[in-house]
Amino acid sequence: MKLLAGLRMCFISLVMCICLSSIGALVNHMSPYGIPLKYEPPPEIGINGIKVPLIDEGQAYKYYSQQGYVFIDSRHVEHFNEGHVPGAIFLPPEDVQERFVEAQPFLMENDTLILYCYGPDCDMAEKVAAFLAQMGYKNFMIMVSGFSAWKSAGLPIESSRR
Amino acid sequence: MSLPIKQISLLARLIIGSLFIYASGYKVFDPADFATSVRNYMILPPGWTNFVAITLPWVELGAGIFLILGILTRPAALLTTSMLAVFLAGLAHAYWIGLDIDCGCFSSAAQSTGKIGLFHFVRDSCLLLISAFIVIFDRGHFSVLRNQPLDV
Repeated sequence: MKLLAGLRMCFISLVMCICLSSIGALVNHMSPYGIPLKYEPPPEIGINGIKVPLIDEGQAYKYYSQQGYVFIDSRHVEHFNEGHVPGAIFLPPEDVQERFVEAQPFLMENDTLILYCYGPDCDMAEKVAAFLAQMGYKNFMIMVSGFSAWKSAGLPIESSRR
Repeated sequence: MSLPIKQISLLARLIIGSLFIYASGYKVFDPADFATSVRNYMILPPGWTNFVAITLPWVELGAGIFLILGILTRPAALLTTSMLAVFLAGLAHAYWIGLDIDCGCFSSAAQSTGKIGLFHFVRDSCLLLISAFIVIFDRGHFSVLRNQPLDV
């Protein structure tokens, strides 16, 4: 009997959850502040007045071995050391000013800088891009799908234990 | 002396119910902002985050109201317990992979300043226990619906 009562409780919870979710979807549909049911990342964002295209790992890979494109990893140091896009420059937002001194010789002003962090909507790449824009760099792309997508796609990875 | 389970359960319902109603507030009115909080946790595929941000606050709100009024108390408490367990898992995931994000639990990610830390784990765990208490011990007392069976 207890099992039956437990199952009944779970069933009522489920029905409650579905009904309340439906109310939410309905209100969102009718609300002027409603958002689309499926999230689509914007194709580009503006950073300090510069248009920055948001690209995925497939597009980023096209630039991977091309001259004039430099990858910048803005994740935490331990994750950078575990694995990163080969040749990527380590530039985290926490101590970007100190690290920039080391990174500057590798970043030509005309280079296109492809920044990434973990995945969609971690804002570390954007923060670093904003700093670099102040430093006079003008060409950016953000690999918005992040390193997790790069890794999942089986693209080249380099690790470093420094 | 036996513990006053009825009264403790009522208190637990009021705590969890009011907190869930309070927490749903900003999310119900600003789903876009809450969707950003959900995406920050990097657990769900980004495409699904809007759906969660649209529906979850209403489940929180509804379950909170049901708990306070004592309508379908145990199923509502099962919902809040499940949600708190998921939130705890989310916090643990964010902490584990070292995400530097705001909790987004009770206030907008854009406004809050508190990063995820031990405090959030303790708070969520306590609420989880209180909510589970209702699931296990509530017998439908202090309900606005008098004819609700006491042994559901």
